[in-house]
Amino acid sequence: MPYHYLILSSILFGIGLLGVLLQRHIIKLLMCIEIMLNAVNLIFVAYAATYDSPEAQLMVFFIMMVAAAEVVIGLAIVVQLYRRHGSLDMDVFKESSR
Amino acid sequence: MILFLLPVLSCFILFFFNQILNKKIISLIALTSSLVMVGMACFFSTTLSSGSTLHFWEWFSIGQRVVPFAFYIDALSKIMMLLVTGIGFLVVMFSVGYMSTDPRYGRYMAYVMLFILFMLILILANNYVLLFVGWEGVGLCSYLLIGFWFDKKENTQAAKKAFLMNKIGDAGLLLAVTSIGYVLGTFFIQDALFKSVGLNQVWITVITLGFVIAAVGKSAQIPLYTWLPDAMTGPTPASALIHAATMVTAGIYLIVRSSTFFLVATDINQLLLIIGLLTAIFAASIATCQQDIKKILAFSTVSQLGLMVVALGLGAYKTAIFHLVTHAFFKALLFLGAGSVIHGLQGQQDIQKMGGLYKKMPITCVCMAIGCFALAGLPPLSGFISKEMILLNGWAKSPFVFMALISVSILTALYAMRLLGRVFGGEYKGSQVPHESGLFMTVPLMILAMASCFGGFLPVPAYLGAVSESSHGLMGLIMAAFSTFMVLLFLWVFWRQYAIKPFFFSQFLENQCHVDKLYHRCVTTPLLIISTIGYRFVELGALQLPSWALETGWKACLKRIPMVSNGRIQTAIHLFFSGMILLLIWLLFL
Amino acid sequence: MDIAFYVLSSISIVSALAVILVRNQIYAVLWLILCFLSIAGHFFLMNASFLGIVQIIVYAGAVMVLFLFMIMLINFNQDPASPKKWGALILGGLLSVMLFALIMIPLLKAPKDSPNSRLLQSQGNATTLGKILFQDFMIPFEASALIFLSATMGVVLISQNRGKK
Repeated sequence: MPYHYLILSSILFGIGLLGVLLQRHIIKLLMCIEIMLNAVNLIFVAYAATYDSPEAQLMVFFIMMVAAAEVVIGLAIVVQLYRRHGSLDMDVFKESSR
Repeated sequence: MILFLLPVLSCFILFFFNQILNKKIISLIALTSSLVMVGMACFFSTTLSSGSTLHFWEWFSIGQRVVPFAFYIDALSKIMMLLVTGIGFLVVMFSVGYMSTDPRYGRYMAYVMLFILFMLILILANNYVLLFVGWEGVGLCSYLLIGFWFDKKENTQAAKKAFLMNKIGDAGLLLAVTSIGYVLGTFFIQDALFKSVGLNQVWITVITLGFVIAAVGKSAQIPLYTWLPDAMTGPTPASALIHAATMVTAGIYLIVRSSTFFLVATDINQLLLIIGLLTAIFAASIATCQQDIKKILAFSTVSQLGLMVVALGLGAYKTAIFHLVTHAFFKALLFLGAGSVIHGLQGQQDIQKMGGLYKKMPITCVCMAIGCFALAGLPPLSGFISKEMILLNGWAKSPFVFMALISVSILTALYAMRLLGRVFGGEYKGSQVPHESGLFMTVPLMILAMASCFGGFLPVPAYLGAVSESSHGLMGLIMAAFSTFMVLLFLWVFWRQYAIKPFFFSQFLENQCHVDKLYHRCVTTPLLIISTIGYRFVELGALQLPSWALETGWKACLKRIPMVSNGRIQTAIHLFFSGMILLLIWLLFL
Repeated sequence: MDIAFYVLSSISIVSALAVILVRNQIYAVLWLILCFLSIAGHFFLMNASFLGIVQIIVYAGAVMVLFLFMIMLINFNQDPASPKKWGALILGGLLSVMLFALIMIPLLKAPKDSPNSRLLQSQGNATTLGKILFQDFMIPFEASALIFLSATMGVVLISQNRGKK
């Protein structure tokens, strides 16, 4: 059991979670999601190292790819939001405008 | 036997249809019912032997103690029965003339009939519980009749005040009755009196104290007398019936009925004596400075009741009943006469605006003069004879009591002659044109005047079984001469309208010594505060709090449910993670 | 070897915290790059060398550069101006603490051992991974290509100005 890596990963996940729930800036929100994804990657690699499993490392590979795609689309949406509301503050985003 | 109650019940029920019935029919029903009752009273008085019981039905029983609906007939109850029905009939006859123009005439007659019913129950009851029923019933009718013209707020407040003060007396009576039931094991009056011999002194004190409190409340003694002057807002014939002749005498009757208890309670007798004397002097002095005709008579009633209570305190029960009877005659006369005067002046009650009415209303004047003389104690009128008996008993007790009683007599003569002089003597100072009253009103006045004149010669004490009093002799002659002199002196003073200069506390007396204000500040206001606090905290607070809390919480939750979809991203994120937390909790712990 | 673990993990945690806490977005991006680099160091430490390289190239290289481009194009260093909503902050803090606690509770009951026990040597290189990728996981590989294609198309579509103007 990769105990220390579990603790580290949990802490990183928690930090990312804190950021997601507390942030008002959209781009920083996406960055905190990236932190969470990295924490998950870390634990996958730790388990892969513990149980000698390359499949787990491939899982990490796929996660990275999906994360990249998701970041791309997310940023495109952010661009549209900026065009609509003129600011990147999440408190300003409400469906009722225009 | 049931025929006795039928007239009362029938017209009581009928009068609830007063919108349908014609005024003449109402008057007819009332007069015939009361006349039938008088006839029945006479019939039963002559045919039934003393000490008999009329049993109607078994009402209920508490353990071994039975409470039936039954009447007990003896000398005392015969006298009271005749008095109540007789004066009731005369008052009904007077009311036909006085109240027939009132739109709620039928209800008035219904209340009067109801009152007579309850008073008869009270007088004739053979057990204390039934007496209590009658007691409460007359209190109720008093409330109904005082607040009869309920459009004016002060009338309803006066009615409430009377009822509440009576309630205090009722508490005393309840204490006494329950003590009797508990300690003596029976509610029957005669049985209780029989078993009371040899009873523990503490219980005797408790029972007699209860009776005294009841009498103080119902018969308007200090400190529970203030309802009687305020009760004058009711119709005058009702005042004549209830507050002069019958209801206020219920307290006296109660103590006389239970006299065996009082024979051994020396402390309570002292208490009665003191209360009676204080009340008599106090009320008489206030009466000398009042300006309203009915208030003078009200305080006069309180004062005379004080005299009766003094007689009770002295142990002279038969004398007290005698004075009760004669007082009923002349006080009812005075009240009905006042009603005639008020009717003649179209509602004017202030004696400063009256005067010289002996020319305009001669019959009323003569009758009221007889009443005033009887009240003042001019021999040989009935008032003098009964009052002389009380004074003799007081002289036998102690000189101090005698002097107090003499001063009461002087004050009584003073205000009685003042009333006579101001109302009927001198020149007319008012604005309305007075007219003499009709037959329906003057005939009862004349009958009562006869009774006041010659009623003193009724052998009431002897009928009740008293041994002949100590010979009147010298003391009696002195008192007769003194009374005559005093009455004639005051009459001369007031008939000639000599103005009495307002002496230094006449304004104080005119305001009834501010007793009402004192009661209001010391008693009603704290009680109101306590009840308001009780209402706010207990009822609104504690009892309504759970439902209020539930309702407010529920509404708050309902108001916030649409906040889930308020279009903000953070809400969605928060909800997402909340769901995840719940899921994890479920997986981990459940 | 333990020292390396602790150093790297402290760098990761500090930089992750710094991402949340710094006001300037450019600095936040830079701190995030540092975080990714330390994670890559962890990968190297666990002998997943291929993944470590991929992490550096893809994450720290491409994704972060994309972020930087976005920030520069849209909102160069502007701070959010509206006042904070404390209610949402408190709720968010509460939720994150609860979730964190829920994750940590089972962990704290597990037995401890040293950080680098049982790490094997030869499994992380590209050859092994490539063989497994193209033999057993062929379909997910092609699917991921489709994902990228759809992402590209999606970006083009989303970023249009709705044909107006």
